[in-house]
Amino acid sequence: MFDMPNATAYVKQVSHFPRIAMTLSEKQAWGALAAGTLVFAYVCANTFEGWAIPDQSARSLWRTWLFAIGAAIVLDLALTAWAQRERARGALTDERDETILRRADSIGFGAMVAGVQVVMWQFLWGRSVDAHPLIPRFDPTHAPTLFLMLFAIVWVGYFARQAAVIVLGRL
Amino acid sequence: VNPPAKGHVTNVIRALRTERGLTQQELADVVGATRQTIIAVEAEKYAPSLELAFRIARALERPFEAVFSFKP
Repeated sequence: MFDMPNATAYVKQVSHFPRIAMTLSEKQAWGALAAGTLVFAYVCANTFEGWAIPDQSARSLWRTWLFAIGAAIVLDLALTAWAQRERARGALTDERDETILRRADSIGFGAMVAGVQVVMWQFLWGRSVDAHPLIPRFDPTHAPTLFLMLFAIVWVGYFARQAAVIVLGRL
Repeated sequence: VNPPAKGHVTNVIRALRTERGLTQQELADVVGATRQTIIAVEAEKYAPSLELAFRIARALERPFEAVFSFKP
């Protein structure tokens, strides 16, 4: 016969994962991930119209750039100030933090380099007449497109770095 | 003179910890580290700092050389 209390205890037992406390650098990485994504979302919202990237005046691109950079600096300063306060309060740190941050920096840099290669391919594909039509092609000579691509490269590198801090801290 | 080949630090933390009935989190709390660090040290994926290694040996009430060994 099906024994309900035993079944509940069994499910509780197999579904129990010991809680792993978040270190300060992991919390900081989550915050930076959210802040960076917010800024990039703002840039996307000011660049896309549906799935297309329409023409924009230089003045409009300047405004987007200034606001995005300003917001990124303010969010980063706020995050750093919060982290300093938490550190002073004795927040949990990991002895491996320095090693993790070094590896994460290298991963983030690698992601940015890969992003630059993608932009280069776009230039080459744009000029090659026999490129397959299924290969996605952007027009890097179009200012708003190039603007978005460069922001995307920075965001991918930043995202990869923060994600690496979170993942490496859990390994 | 050829430089020595990179060695490997091994340990018996897991065996000693379970022998004493400690969880990874409890050992981490005693030595002031995170559970993730204890997991990495036990799996020999990370060689702890000298200070943490001494703390772990003390928490397990064993001499340092009974917990850690070095394979050149």
